[in-house]
Amino acid sequence: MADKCSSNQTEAAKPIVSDLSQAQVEQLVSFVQSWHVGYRQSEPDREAVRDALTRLYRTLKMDMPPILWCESPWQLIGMKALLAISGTTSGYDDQLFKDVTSQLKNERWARMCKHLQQQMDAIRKPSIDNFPCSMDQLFGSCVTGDLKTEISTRLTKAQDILKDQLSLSVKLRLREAFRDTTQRERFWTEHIPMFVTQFGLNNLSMMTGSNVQKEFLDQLNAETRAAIERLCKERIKSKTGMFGLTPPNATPFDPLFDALHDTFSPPASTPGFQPAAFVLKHLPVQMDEDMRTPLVDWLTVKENVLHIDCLENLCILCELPIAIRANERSQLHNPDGPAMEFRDGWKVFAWNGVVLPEAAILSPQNITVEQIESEQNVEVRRILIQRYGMERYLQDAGAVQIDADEYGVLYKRVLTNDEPVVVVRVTNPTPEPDGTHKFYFLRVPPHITSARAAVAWTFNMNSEEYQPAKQT
Amino acid sequence: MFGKPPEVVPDDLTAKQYHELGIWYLDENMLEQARVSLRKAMSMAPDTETAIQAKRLLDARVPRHEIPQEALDELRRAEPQVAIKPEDAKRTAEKLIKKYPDFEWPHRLLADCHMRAGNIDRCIQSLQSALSINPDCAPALLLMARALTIDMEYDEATRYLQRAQAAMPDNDELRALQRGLDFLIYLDQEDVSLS
Repeated sequence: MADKCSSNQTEAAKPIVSDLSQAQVEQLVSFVQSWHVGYRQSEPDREAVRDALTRLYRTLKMDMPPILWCESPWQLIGMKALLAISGTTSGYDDQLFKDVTSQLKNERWARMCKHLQQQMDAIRKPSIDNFPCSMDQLFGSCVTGDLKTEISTRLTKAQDILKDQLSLSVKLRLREAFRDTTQRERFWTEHIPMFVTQFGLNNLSMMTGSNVQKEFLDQLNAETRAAIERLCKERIKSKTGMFGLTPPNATPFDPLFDALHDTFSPPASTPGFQPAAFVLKHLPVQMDEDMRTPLVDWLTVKENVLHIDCLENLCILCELPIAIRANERSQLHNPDGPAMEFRDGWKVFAWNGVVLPEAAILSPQNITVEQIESEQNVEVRRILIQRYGMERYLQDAGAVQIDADEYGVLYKRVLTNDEPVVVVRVTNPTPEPDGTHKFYFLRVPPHITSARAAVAWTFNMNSEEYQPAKQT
Repeated sequence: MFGKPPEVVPDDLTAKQYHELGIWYLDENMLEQARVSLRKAMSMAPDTETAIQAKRLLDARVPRHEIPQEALDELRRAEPQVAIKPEDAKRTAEKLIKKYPDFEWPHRLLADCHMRAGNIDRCIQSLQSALSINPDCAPALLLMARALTIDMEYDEATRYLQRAQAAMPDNDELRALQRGLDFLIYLDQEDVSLS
């Protein structure tokens, strides 16, 4: 490779693609733009996705199962619960399933039921007789991992083959196009895995909140609820066996909502995929079709799908959001409204990457100290305090003053299951028009015990180093 | 898909391509080729955005004079030791300074060791040595601004910070230091009272 890249390498290597045409440059620009965060996704190309997945299943030597489209992660959870009920004993036309769907009157639930029922005919009847809860019991093993392995293997080989087919100038153009020049624009490929890591959305429950189960049950009449409870108890018994343990806080209905604990499974986590996919799709490179087609097909899936569950007998797909808003660090963020919106109207509210209850964004004036202190998620609580106002919170929650000197006043508030909140209050000496002095609070680590150390810490020094020269 | 960049910098590229190639060399830790490529980008399109960006990269990520790869590798191995085994890092920095007097980066590493040991005067001396070799060395400028802030030489710190910002406009660390420095200057005003 080194020799080929000497000063006359462009002639010696004779790459197949020596330059990009104007049309190819335009395709490149449009391709890159389509992966930027904030790009508004149009209606998914369902037919193209079906064709692509059919071929991808074939690489696993499997037939394409029916597809179930969900409009949002919330719908994904709800549909899985309904599928579990539907697969009880007698298939999809059973009475319990009908009872449940007829009682789900809430607008979003009703829309979901309709969306599911429209797709039910294509879904094969599960063949098991006891009450199933997990999708693999209903529809066979999950093969998403196998598919991703196939893609990764092909991608590595393709990248190796492609490196000798592109001229240096084409490589430089591609590197420039796909490089994150400003560190502020990120691609979906980087963004979606961040749901799992930076956003802390390890499972779907982090994204959808915990009220999905309650919302479901609240709509059912006592008889239907009791029928489902009986089935769920059966299920727990068969699952845990004689020596099995049930989690202490488990409710009988938990097995129905197992999907809440599903790991978020984006189809886009293959490093270096985008440039290779662009080249394979748009440039006249030489590549065996059995290498090229699965990669281009995977691109089609990625362009249209947020979450994918490839089971042996069912492929569950979740659409991309129709709108997404992020801060400059590409964290989900919108101080005035939803950070993500899905086609079914379901919304995610977030503040600098932390998913919050809707009210915390839309009506922060209604946040209460009790709500803050009962919040179990530390990150959410931190944002709630921020939205409530640190100063107001300290006053209303009865924070204790632990130090005061010429540098400021240090307060401490002990929280359950979290480190204490310690803040230093600094006064702005410039009077406001009404003659009062505005003060502001800076949060400092809980080990700090003096106001001086706290002020010093705010600009990364220890208190001995910090000694403002002139003060009155 | 991209493989490795060419060992020898080609002759037939545009300024923009040399800039991009320079970044590729930097990514692959091929600093001498990066230097050649970025300098070509600067000379071919002076006073353009490409030239400005190329110069920023040169100042921030390439030593002023040609340095053998083994010296660069040794320095890179020593850098993480500053926090874990500062004495080892210091020894390596001193050894490299002796062996390569024109290499500014070991001076910066030594300055970092001094700062962590709380010896601000010696830290500043080491940074002056680094900046006498390469007055545009952005990491040295940043560390100097930090050292002068600790030394409460706020005006001087601001000047170094501005020079560092010219070389690394998107650097988060610089922005954080700027905020801290602004706050200190505010506190340092004669009429400021904190209570």
